[in-house]
Amino acid sequence: MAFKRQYKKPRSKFGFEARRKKVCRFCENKILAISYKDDKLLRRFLTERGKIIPRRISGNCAKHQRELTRALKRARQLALIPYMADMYH
Amino acid sequence: MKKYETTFVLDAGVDQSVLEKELSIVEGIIADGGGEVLDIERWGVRRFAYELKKRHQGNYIHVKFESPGDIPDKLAKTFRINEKILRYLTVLSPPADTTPIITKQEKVGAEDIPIPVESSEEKSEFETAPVSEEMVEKTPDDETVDTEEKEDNQ
Repeated sequence: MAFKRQYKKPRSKFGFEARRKKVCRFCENKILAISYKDDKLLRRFLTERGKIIPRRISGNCAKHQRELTRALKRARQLALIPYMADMYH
Repeated sequence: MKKYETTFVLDAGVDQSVLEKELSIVEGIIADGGGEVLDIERWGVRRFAYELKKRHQGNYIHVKFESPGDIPDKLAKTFRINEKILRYLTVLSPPADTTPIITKQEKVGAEDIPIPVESSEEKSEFETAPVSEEMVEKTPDDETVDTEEKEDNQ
């Protein structure tokens, strides 16, 4: 089994550069608040299909990613954001 | 006594009077339980992100209150029974409640397209490039670096 390896260097194999220097945008900007009510902010962390963007791409720190996920799932329940968004192809 | 906030959704087409009646029921439960209503937000009619109970929009009410711990459960029971309430969610109020202003949706029904991908919307302080599914699907494991499994299993 290939072990989970945290890639450290940017890799062009992925088609994009994984910059490890990317800081968590919530850590950086303390004013930015994560709330399940703020669908505008939350939408930015969903893919086109409506999936939650993983941390390795969003660049969030663990703590904020957890908060974000919690908020996203709550917002989904309230129909503020979708569970699945790929319905019109 | 803890701070909670609950959100419930009614049918979009309900009368104001019905709305107020449901709200007062909720307030009653809170008060009877020894709690206190702190704030009421009427988000109004919002379009759903997905079809819910065969509808596409609903009327949202958001109530912030403080009460003993058994009240949220009582609320939930009431909400569950009530057919008019389509969805509800009660939650502990976040500590630093920097409540963002609920984004007012433009004329409900104007948009018939699904959730728009980030593109022409106004750029805010931070920008997120649209994340393609491809980017998400790939994992670092896809490209084995050191361990070449195929060779090992020979």
